[in-house]
Amino acid sequence: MDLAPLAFRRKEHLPERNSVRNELGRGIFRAVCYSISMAEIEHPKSFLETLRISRGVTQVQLAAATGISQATLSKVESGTVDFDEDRWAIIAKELGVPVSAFAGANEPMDADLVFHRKRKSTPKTALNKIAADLALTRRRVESIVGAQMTSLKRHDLEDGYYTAGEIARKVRKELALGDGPVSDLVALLERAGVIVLRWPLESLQVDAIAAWPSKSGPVILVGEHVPAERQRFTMAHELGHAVLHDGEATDAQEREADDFAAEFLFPAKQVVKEWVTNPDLEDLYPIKRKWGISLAALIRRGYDCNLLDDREYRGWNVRLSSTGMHRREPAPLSPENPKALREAIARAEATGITIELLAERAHMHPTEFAATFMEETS
Amino acid sequence: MSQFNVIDNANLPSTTVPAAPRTVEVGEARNLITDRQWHVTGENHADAAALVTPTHSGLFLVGENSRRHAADLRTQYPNIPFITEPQALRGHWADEDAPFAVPDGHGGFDITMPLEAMLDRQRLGGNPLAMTPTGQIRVGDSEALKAVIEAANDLDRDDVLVAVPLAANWLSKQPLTDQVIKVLNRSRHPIALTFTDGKGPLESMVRTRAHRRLIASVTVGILAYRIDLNGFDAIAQGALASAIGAYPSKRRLEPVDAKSFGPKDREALSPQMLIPDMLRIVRSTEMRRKWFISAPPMDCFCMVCGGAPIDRLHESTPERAAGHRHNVLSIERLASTLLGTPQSQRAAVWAGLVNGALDTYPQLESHLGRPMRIPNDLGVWGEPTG
Repeated sequence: MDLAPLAFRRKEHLPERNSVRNELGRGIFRAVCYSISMAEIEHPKSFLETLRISRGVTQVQLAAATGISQATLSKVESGTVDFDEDRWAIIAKELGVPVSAFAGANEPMDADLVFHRKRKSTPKTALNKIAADLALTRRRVESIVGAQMTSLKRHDLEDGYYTAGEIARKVRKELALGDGPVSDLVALLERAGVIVLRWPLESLQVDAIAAWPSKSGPVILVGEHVPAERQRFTMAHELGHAVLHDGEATDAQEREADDFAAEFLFPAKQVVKEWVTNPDLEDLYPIKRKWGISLAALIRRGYDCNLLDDREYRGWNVRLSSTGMHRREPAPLSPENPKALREAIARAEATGITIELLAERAHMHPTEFAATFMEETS
Repeated sequence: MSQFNVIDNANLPSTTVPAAPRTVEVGEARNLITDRQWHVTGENHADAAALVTPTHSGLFLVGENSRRHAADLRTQYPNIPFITEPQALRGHWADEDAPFAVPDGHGGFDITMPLEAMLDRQRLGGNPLAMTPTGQIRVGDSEALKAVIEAANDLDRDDVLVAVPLAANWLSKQPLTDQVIKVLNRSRHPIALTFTDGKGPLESMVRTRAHRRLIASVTVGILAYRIDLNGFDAIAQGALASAIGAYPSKRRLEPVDAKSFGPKDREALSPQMLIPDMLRIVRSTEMRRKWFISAPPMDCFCMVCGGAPIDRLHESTPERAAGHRHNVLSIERLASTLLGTPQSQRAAVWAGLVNGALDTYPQLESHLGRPMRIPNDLGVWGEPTG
């Protein structure tokens, strides 16, 4: 089987014939909130398996492309058999990484807690790819900046004695946010030791993925397709998962993550202070800009804080959808871009460390490394 | 004899069940509250005191002069407990740092006085128990809710009734209701639980169901306070008692900053009439305009109505007062049926009353010659619990 040379731009690195994008088609994306848990994902056990899944290649396809039997590949992936140097070189070529990537290939990958927003129809192969992407990314990032320690703490809802909103207020306190808006959520998370990357997730039909590895800080991959209005809420939602949940994510936990995000971005006490009685659309723009949330989320806050009744809330939603504003909101927000990783790379370069060396540490070819971690985002 | 000539709830006795004589258990909040039917009164306090059964009733008095009125009534009716409602329930927002407040004498509130002193002041004023002067708790303000319970738990006395006035939206989201259950279950004292809303706090089925679940899950002793007929459902679910108002403003708490506007239609001031057989409260205007347009009105044979049409009353002060007296008697009739039953049988008795109420609809439909819509709350009360 002839696998075309892998292109290492993030949006193109999947072999076209087997791409998840092709499997899923280009359905209209809808923001939905279903989490998966470790129980749903088959966590890859070795670097080889992780890389293969991340590339969207099956064992059968890799066997056909390399001439190595599937049975042997399976044994290598499970760590019971090792390849010789020549076979590692063949595998490395097919999967588009330097052969040095497989030094220590049988070391187990850490099983991360993974949370993300997906459609119910997202196939299991895509979920497995998500987990593999995340595990690889985390390992690669750690090779650049070292294991990230976070100032975030996990919280327990104690079977309902605490609410997600209450925990959001505690986390705001822990991050010394005071009562005001979070001006740059990405920067705040990066300061707290969270790795944030914008990532091509649209084809996987997810807005964002988050993981909190047991030995380091959380990682959040935010879909490049997510508009600025939704990006902040999505990240805060993932942050909620990270600090609140450690088991199988249920629909109720998705709602908890939403409640966390709403309170984290715009605390109820501030909503009450800033709300305008019987607001016009124009009255909401300054509040939207100041607190960095979408009009839809703002209206929901008004409803949840008892400032809009059922009829008013329904009326606002009809207005937003009938005018198309729920898709393209007026008074748009500026997107927030991650900076910490590029800054770390720049610092390393300033000390004489080359991109080639950084790429090697990340088990990547320099072209893929540059495309993955150094591209400007909009 | 049935109370009405058109309908009859077969499971609702026509006479009240006699109760054993009972003194006012001064200083023992839990005993005092339990198994009494409480009435939340304002301008109708004197009328209500004259109508209630001393052996199993009590009054909460609301308003600027409630202390003076309560003192007068205590002299007149020594076997009826009278409690004045703290103003903070109507005028103060609770927060984590200032959950309680008392009037400062200048139109504002003093939040610096220790809670113990606030409660002592109530007892010195003649109240048989001390109701915490709790401010209204905004939806989701978990810290304020916990501050109320924690501060009350620090009190080592038996005369405390912890008032917990929550925004009605606490009942709209399951995690919030769950938290209320968890927090209230940590209380050492009985709780007067009420909900604030500009309209009906328990108007939606979601909230009615959540309220049911909450009452059934809180085990520390609940007085369902400032409530409508859901108060009887609360008793069936295990509440110690309920405190129901004879008119709308005494069946709920208005949010602190709510602006109230008088009705455009003066007729809308005509009294809301409790029809115990139907477990329903209907404004007499609505009955005149919608129910009995082409059929003769239903007659009520309670002590106040004396066989007159149930829809006869208009907005004048004497007519409104008559409607409120009818309601006090109707509340007493329902309460007697429930409270005269051992606690373990109250859910079954209530289920019977609800079934009987559902049966009154075909009776009324036959009289009116058209279908009637069954209210949401009656439907929820008919649902199985637990």
